[in-house]
Amino acid sequence: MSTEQEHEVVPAIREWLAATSDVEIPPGMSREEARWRAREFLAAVVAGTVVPDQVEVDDDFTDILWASIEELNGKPLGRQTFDECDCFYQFVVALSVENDPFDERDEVLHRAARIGWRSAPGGLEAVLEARAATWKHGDERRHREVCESADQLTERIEALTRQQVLELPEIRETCARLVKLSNICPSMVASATVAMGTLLGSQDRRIG
Amino acid sequence: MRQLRLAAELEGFYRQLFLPLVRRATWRHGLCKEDARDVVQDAFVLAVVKLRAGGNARAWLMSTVDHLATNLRRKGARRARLEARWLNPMDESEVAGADMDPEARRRSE
Repeated sequence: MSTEQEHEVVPAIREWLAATSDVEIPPGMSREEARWRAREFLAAVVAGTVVPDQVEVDDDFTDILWASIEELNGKPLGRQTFDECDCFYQFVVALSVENDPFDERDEVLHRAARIGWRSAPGGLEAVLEARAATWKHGDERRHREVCESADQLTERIEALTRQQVLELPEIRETCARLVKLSNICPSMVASATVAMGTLLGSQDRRIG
Repeated sequence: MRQLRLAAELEGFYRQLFLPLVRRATWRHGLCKEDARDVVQDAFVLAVVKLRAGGNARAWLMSTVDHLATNLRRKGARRARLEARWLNPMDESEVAGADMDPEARRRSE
């Protein structure tokens, strides 16, 4: 919903209420039908007999997606549910969704991921531990500090360019940070390395 | 009640605002579609009175639908407990979990 549309919401709501005051408004596919169709849909997704390109993402299908989440949430924890969630997640990611004013696809994906991770071998705790382990590189605190201060690297190098005498410990520290960050933010490191190389190759500065 | 025949201009409202909010009340809060429809209509009535121009209408409507849906479920759970107490005094424990959300109920089982 754009900002312009938001300004028109209250008049539109008034118009809607006036038009619907004594009529029965169809609320879309019923829960029961959506759950029934979701069971068939999930089986087809897992079997690979339906592909995202074949599906028109209309209101009925969106109900089926939501019902699929309820279906998945009711399944027992374990590898099979994990795999089903993964298949469903990949399918929904690949869907072509043109109009999604309330970000329903994102929410469906988020819920599918939660159910899947809960069902992962070892459970959610194992997943969180594995993610936390990416921070452990010998000195976890040092690695975290370098990553969190990555956006200050450019300023650090600019400060060096303003110095007439460059101290070796500072150069060594800056280069060490560049190496550490090279796999984490390579594009930033690439430009920073060029600046650092220019600085070190400059003839009008003394090092040490 | 008459069946709704939407004018073209209201068709957009129905698909862009009404149905997504009905789905939110249905699938997030475990309501049937008919209750969800009523919740959304109630939210619209409140919006006419309370929604400020220039505010984040989408967020306001979502939040209001969430509150109304939660209230409706709590009301239903209270009614079920009262009925159990008055009609079947020995079966009160069966409805003790009626006000739990589906996720909490599943974890407790």
